[in-house]
Amino acid sequence: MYIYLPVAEISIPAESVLLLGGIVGFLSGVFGVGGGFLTTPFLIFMGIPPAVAVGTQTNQLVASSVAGSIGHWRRGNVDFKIGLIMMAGGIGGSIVGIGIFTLLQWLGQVDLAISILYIVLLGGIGIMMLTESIWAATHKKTVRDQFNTQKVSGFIAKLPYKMRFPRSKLYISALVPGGIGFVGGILASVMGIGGGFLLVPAMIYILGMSTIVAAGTSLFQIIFTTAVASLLHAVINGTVDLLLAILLIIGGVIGTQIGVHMGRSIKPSHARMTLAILVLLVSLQLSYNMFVRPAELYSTVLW
Amino acid sequence: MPFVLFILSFMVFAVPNALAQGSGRDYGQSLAVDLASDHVDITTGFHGSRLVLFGVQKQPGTLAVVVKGPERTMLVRRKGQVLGAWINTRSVKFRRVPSYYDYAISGTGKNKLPTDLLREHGIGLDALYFDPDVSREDAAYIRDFQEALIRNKQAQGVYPVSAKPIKFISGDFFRAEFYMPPNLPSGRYEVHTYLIQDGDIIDDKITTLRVAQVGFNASVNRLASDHAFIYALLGLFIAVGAGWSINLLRR
Repeated sequence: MYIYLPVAEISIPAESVLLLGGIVGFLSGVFGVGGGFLTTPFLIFMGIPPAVAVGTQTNQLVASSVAGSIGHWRRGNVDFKIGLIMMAGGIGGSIVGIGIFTLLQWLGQVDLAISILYIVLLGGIGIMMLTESIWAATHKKTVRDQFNTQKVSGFIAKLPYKMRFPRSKLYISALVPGGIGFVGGILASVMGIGGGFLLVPAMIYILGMSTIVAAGTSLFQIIFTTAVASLLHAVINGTVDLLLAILLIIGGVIGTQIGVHMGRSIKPSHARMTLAILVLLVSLQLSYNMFVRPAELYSTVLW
Repeated sequence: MPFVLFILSFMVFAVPNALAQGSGRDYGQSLAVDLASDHVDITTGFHGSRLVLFGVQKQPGTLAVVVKGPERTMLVRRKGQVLGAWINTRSVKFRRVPSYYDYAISGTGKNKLPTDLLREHGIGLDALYFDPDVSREDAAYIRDFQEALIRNKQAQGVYPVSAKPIKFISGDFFRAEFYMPPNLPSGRYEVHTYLIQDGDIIDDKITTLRVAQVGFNASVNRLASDHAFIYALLGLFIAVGAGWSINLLRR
């Protein structure tokens, strides 16, 4: 069934958007990542203008992160104290990110910036997660055991504003979760993603949180970061299409619930390995697109 | 004396006008056209439609129909290789690009029509002028960008690959049909019909077409542009509500 989108001003098959939302929601439930890194490229592939894809995606992420984090919250997987500090950083990051996005749009380098960010971030994290999860799987140990035995590195230990986080049993500077949240906020605005794929590993490896609490907490703070990004995209850029968002949401919330259930029965190291492979594939595809001469060198944009 | 001035002014204005538009004593009489519908309503279920033009040609000659959507400013960017990566390096801005364009020609097509005439009236893709905004007047450089823009519009389905035919139903009664794709831009369209005889336009007609979102879609679009903040809050309300309600239902 074709639906005409009022803001994107294009007609698209509703089923494909529902399916895309469902797959992304499923990933969100299993891994605690928003899955935006898949949605944005696919929406653009369907013919949705890139700016509308990014703007709308932020709105859909609010819904999927609310749905996902309630599931985690009921099982006690949300560290609210860390989440709130990350949220404060995240909102600041969102505002800065909107400024960067508008500037990049004007320069015509949105695609380039997104590609570089994806290749560097996804590639780096993918390799890191893959090696770690293979190691964990072969040594029958979880990553948390390994990392808790290590001392937090000197630089982070020296930072001021130290706080206790009872849920995660941590004593660490508030600047660290705040800074991670800030980076997440920039990514939400610029790339239309929740940034979970970056936040969750950062929370595991830098903060030393357990995988499941990192996933729950990251979803919790993504609600607020993406809400601010969505508000700003709608007001400043006029690029949020609610009909498209609703379709993505309907698919997404169903997928998320299935994912949260599945997530409990999947071994964490296997889940991370799958996510790492997925992330590396997207990164490789983007590198290919960037370095192989494109069939069409020209692109057009409404000015 | 005023009477003489009146006559003179009539001669000054009317006569060159008549000359400019060809020899036609019958100007305005030899062509009659109408659209099957003067508006295209974009509803939520819109998935493209057809624009049908009917007309009667009372003089022999070649017919040309040009359909143009509202003009927009477009920026065309070209990728170049920088440190091995393909990134946008050059750009040309075109100030008057029809957001939709299609045309139809009767009989043997535009091969036998003079280039100047085609260019003046924008008949055919080669005849379009997009008003480039560039500092340097390098015709070949601009042409590459313009051709790329046309290719891009063709890929989107808003520009034609070739001329549409004009079908004669009986004698001088004709019909032209254009496809309007699902991503049809909104706005006021102009449909120009020309009757060309021996390289001159002997008659022409302009009809307009209104393309607009209607009903639910129009309301959403208006809210998004006129009350962006309320629209954004509504969006967040829906998003939070949707996320929450699924969890409640599951309990």
